[in-house]
Amino acid sequence: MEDFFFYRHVKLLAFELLSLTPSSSDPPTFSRKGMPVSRVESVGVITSRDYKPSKFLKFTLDDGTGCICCILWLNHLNSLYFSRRDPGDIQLLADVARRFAAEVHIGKVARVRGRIGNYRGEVQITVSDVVIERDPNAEMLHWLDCLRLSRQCYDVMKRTSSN
Amino acid sequence: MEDAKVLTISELIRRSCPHTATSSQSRSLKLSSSSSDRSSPAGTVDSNPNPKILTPLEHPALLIGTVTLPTVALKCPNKSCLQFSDDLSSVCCDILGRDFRVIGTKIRVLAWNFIPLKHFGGGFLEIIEWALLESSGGTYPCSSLMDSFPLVSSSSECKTQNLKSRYRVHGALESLSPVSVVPCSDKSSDSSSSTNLRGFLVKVLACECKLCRSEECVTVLNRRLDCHFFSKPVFVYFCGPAWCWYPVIVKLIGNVVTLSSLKKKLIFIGGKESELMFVTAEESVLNLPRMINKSVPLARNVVKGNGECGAYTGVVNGVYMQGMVVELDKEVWLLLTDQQLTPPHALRVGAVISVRNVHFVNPKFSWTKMLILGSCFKTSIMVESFSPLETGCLTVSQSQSLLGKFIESLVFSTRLWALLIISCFRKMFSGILSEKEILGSKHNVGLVQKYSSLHLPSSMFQARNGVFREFYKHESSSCQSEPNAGNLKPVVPISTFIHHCEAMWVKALLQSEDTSPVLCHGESYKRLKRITFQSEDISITLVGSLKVSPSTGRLQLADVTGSIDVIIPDLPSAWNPNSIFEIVDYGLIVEGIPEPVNSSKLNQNKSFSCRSIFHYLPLARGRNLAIFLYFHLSNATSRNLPFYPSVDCKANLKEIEKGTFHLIWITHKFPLLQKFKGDLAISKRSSMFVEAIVLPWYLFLDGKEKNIYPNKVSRDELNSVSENCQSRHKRRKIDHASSRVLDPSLTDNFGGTGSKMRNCTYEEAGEEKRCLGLSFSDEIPCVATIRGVKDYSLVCSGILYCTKANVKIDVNCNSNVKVLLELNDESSFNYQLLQIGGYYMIKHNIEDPFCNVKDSDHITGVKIIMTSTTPIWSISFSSEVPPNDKSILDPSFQDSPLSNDFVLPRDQTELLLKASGDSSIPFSDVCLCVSTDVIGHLKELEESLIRPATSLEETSKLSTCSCTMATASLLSSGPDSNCLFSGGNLISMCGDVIAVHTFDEGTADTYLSTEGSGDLSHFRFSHKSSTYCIHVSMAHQTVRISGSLGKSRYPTGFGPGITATFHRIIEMGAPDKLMLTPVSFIEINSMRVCSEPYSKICSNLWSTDMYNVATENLVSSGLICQLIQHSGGNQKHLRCRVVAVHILVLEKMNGKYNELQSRTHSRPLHVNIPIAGFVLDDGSCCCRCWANAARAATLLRLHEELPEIALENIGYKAKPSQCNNSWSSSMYQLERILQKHGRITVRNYGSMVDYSYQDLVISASSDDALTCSDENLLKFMILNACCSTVWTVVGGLMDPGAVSFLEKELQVEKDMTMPSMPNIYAREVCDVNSLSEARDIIRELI
Repeated sequence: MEDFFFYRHVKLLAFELLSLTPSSSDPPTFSRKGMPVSRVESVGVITSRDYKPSKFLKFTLDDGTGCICCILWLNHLNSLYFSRRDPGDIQLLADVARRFAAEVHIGKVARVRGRIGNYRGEVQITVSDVVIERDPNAEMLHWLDCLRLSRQCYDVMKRTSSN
Repeated sequence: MEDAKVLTISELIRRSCPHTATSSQSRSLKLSSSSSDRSSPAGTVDSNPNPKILTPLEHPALLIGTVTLPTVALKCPNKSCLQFSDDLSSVCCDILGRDFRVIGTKIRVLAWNFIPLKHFGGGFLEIIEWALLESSGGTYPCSSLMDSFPLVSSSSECKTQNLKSRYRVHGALESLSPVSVVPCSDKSSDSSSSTNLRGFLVKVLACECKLCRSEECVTVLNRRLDCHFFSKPVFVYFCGPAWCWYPVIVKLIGNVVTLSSLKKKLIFIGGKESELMFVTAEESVLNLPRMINKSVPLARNVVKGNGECGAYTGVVNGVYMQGMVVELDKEVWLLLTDQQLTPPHALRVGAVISVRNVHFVNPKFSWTKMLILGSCFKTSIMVESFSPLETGCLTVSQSQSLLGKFIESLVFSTRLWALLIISCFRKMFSGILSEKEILGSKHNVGLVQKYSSLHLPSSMFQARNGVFREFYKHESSSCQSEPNAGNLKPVVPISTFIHHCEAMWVKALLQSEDTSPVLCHGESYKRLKRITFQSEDISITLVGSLKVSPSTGRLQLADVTGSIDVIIPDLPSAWNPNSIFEIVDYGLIVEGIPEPVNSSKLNQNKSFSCRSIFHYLPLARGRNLAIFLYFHLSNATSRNLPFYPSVDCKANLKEIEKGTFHLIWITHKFPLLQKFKGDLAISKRSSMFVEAIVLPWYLFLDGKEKNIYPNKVSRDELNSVSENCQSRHKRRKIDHASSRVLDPSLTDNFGGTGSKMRNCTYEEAGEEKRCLGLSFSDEIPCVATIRGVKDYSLVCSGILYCTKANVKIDVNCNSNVKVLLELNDESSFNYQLLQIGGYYMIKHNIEDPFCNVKDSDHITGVKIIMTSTTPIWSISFSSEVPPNDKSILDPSFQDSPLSNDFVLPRDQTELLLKASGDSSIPFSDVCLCVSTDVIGHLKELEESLIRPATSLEETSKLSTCSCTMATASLLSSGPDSNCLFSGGNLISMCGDVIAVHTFDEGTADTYLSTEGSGDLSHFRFSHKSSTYCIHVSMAHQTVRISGSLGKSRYPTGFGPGITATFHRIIEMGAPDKLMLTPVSFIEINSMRVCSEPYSKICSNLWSTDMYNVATENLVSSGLICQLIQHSGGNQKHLRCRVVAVHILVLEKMNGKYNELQSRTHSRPLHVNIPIAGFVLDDGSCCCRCWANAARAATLLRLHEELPEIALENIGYKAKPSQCNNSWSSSMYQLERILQKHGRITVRNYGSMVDYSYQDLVISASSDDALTCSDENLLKFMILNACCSTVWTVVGGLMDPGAVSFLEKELQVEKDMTMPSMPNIYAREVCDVNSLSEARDIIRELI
């Protein structure tokens, strides 16, 4: 598959996300009807919020078809993962993440992008960015986007690749 | 025939009416039927569009008389016409056919046309049919095969043969020269008197066969046709009495003749060279075979249109410019500019003529297709069939003007162009300039010649010689090859141009798609269509003067024939309204309601024709279209023509450079007041009022350090001037207490008492200071750069003197001295020039009303009357001396290789008319380099007083101050708007106009009406005011502005696709409902000049909660993956998010000389983004999207406020004075950084698909390194852009070649790891309208 398909944020509804099949590899990769999925975008109402300052923010996104667990890491400044990077850049990323965390409140509609992962057997999104949607129609538009993309893009590509 | 009445010539002349006549009824019928056949040749247009057929006489008639050869004594200027005479009088005549026995014989003319000629002999007779008088049956006996005509009337064959005249030439007549007069002295006579020898040369291709060289009888030569081979060119000089055979020889071109009893003589040509030629003698005889119906085919050239010689036969469709231009058939133009060439009288419209030895030229003009037939001294014209139409005869009068000689010296294609210029200028300037001024005279060069000389390179001229020399040496002359004149553009009268615009509009309509109607509150209205044309596609030059229309108050380019509205962003204040400008480089916008196009009409208007210029008919405007031009006067191709020597740009500079000036700042322009006809009291009053604040500064320009240069001074030189000036002022400040000697030139103007003030010190000048009410407590040195009308600029030093100690402009509106400027009718230009938010300087003089303005006047206000004699110059403030090189002044040059149209199509450009939110107008007359403190004060003032709101949120914040301004308005009669509308505030608002329509209650189906009552053009061109609705998009929200306005209230160019500021409009209960008031003023900030209708592109800007807009999928929505799959170059309307930034180039915006900017959004752009590469993702796939200017700014979220967290973290703490929106916006911060560094490039060496793994490397063009906090801020902005919401991007796939070119230009290194992705360019970027998008998807899915 071309790079530009691989790097996209696949728009899937929660019920589909939850039914993605992980591979047995470590870390596991996911696929939807044979199509590899690494990054996703989801829109839904925030229904739970578990905040551990300077560590992480865990929250649940309910898009009406299911609830998907999201984790936003806030440990940029003390994680070894980022230790090799420029401290200035890390500070910026930490600030950005802190801002996301401050905006996540139960009841708000959020648009979340991130990597798809697996935590204790459950599908989870490792959040890269959160945008709080103020437009009440955003959620509905996301549903329709998901529907259109699966019909016109994901399913078509699957058919093409299977042919 | 017995009944035919015999008429005399005198009777014909006495009748003095054009007619046709025959000797019998049967002939009449025959002739009239043939006449009617010829009267309307297919596709022909006469110079008179409806020529009448010649009226036949009521009764059969005939003429009896003799056809004779011309004599010198003829009254006719042609001198070489055949004559028809009866016993009493004679007239010029022409005869069809080649039976020359008619000459000298009494004949009966059986059918003829008679055209009266008032001045030359009374008339012209076209003999159609004749018979010898002796012959009763109308035919003549065939007695011999040959006719012999003695060339001198006294000679005869039986005369004794003179030994000298023994030569004979038998051959085909190839060409003949015009009759020329050679002055010569008669040495044989004792008196040695000089005589003029008339004559002409004939080139004969002679036969040199045995038979021809023998002394056989002429009859034998003609009997043996097969043995001749006509190839030897010989010249025969018909001189002396034989010249009168000219009209006969003309008709024999191409035929075989025998000339006998010729002499051979050495003839001097051009005075130096001599050639042995045959010369006619007294005994010479012209022998013609009786049956000469067929011409001998002469050598034929392949005609490519490069000047080859050939023959052409066609119908005369028009005779223009006193016969210098003849239109044959359709778009074949015969040029008869050489004065020696005398075209026959019978060359009338409707005649069929045959032109021999004419040069075929295809001029390859870009603006029309045509064939030029260029005549030279070899050319001869013969009438093959007389015109049956009642059209005038050609009589060419000889004149020796300089213009005539000038035109003769041009190559053929250029000659036609010059004739078009003559024709055009005569129409355009009739009544303004005299004929003599336009055409010149024998000794003086006229306007046409001056203009033409400016445009013609030397290759367009050819050396001319005498008639005989050119005729003899024709094969080696330059007229055989024609240089390419395709670049020459015609000048057309403005009314012709407007008709051409209408035709172009119709043509463009056919090629464009239909537009859907505007829906507003459930009602639909016709949508206006705006089409832009560029001058390079139109290929027409315009010449005219600029004036302000008295009826509409609009600036126009005008000539005598008409006027057209214009937009000139850089109109300088100091210029002469009498100047005539030549506009070569311009844009044309035609706007109107598309109507069904009649294809037959379209054919008529297919292309621009020369006929419309030569035969100018003032026509009323056919369509209700708004037509206007835009151009820059600073552009080298918009030149002030050197018609008026008084227009000297340097003189204007001199007026500015020295003296004392008041500075004012315009806070509002009141719309033009409509005058009421008949009410004298009202009509005498001024109708133009402008509200201004008088700044507490006086500007002194000392006129020293001046350096006039035509844009060639380097930046270093300028800086040295600046430094020198600054250091001088510093020195002066140090010496303040001892001897601060004011410059004499400065003090001259200081109070107007020059002699008294000369060399005085400040202390001595105390009295004059009091005159100005000044106490000079502070002085700010400055450098003024003064822009001239054209290429000239001047730099001089000056001082800004403050009137109060430690003065700062108070942002509290009420403490400023406000004045109301009243402009009288003569100063309507000044009204045009003044812009709200612009700074202006007015020269101080002793009786100046500005000096009498006191601080207390802000309560009551002061009215100052400005006359046309009060010059006003626009002024801008800058912290550095503006560069004055061509790259800034000329829009076609850009410093950066990444100019705006670099990757993006031309049609995206936008004309910037007003710098938004800047302390300068884009093209000011004077740019004042002052300290940053002064600029800071001015910015504060602008921000607080008139900065328009750009979003609905802002309107509420700004309304209070704007409202204060409005209520403090000096219009005594104006209502206090706050009182009128209890809930409303007067505000200024800036936004994109997306639709305009009339808004009359209960006219739901107006768009269905063919009358178009619901369209803008209807209400625009009517003087009545209509209720209308303007849909304006501001910061992704749409507001409606309604109100009733007359035509003059709209600036030129108003309509969809512009960004406008609506000053002093009122809220109508809700923030999205606004209304224009009688004091509201609309200013256009910028205008989209793309060829595509704006409404198409910005349909997605419509807010559906207000408008029930039918989705216009003119650019269909889709997915990025679909764009790749259908890579047919189509554009898609994509909905996507930014994932990462690949590369970003940011530049400082040059506020003073903002040229054509590529912009799509209304919001002010203070930084220039030449190019940016983003990675976008819509869920279907990722792509790299290239964007620039406003599109890039939107994707970077530069208009949004930076979150506090970002500002705090990077060390910015807001000061109390900086607590406003702009400070915290990315744009403001970016502008600040760019002020220091000029140009910044950000490259991403990290991940292109995950913003958190981007590795951003920032480099600046300046030597100073970016501070850590600035670098962090830039990185934060990019991160912020990558975490944005969803955008609507209208774009299309880019050509791989363009991508690689772009990457090369941007030096995209290989280590910038870019995954393989499709590349698209963004044409539009805007917010998503979720509801309409969702609706579209549902429609698509179900």
